[in-house]
Amino acid sequence: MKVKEKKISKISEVTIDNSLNEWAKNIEPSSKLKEVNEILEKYGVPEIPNEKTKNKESKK
Amino acid sequence: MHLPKYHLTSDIFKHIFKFTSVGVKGNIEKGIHFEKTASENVVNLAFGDVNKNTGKIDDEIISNNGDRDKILATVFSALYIYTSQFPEHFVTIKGSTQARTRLYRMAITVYGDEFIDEFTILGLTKDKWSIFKHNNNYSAFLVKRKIN
Repeated sequence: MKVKEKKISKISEVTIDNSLNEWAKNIEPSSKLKEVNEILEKYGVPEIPNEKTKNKESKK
Repeated sequence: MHLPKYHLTSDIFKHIFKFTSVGVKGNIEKGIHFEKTASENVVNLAFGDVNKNTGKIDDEIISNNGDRDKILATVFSALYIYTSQFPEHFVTIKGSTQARTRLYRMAITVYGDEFIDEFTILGLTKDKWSIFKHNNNYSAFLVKRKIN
């Protein structure tokens, strides 16, 4: 059986570092967040189909 | 082909990630934060150098450490990890400059069909979100993991 190779996701490993938990709680917003919020307010978040099967069908 | 990337560490909830870029200018701590936005179920991908004094992620600094592709692969890895945990979330991706946003577009193009298979990708043109096309210019991206 051929298994599809995943170029990025398969090689992703992450180590949980509990010292980052406090950082995550206290980190300041990024310089882009205000602009991103303005974009989301102005253009909204569209409804998008996100099931793989639907997209595959639409490719046929 | 497997893209080389850096090993990631994260907090317990996988909201924030850290890795060390190793390049011509030495070791540089990088941070990736999936930060909440004002919209429910939408987070923003913030990425940059970690300021050792403030802990802030500086997304405007240009480090030129000679490892751009490895860094991009690492950032996209974090995106995979985050959206595996929170597939219902949209993630906005916007570079701190137009050049950096173009770089993200190039990265999406380089990762190609596999990335498009895994994510629904929208790009912001002048007045609306539309389905990502390789050669178009966008000012921001909105991605969501596809569900099997």
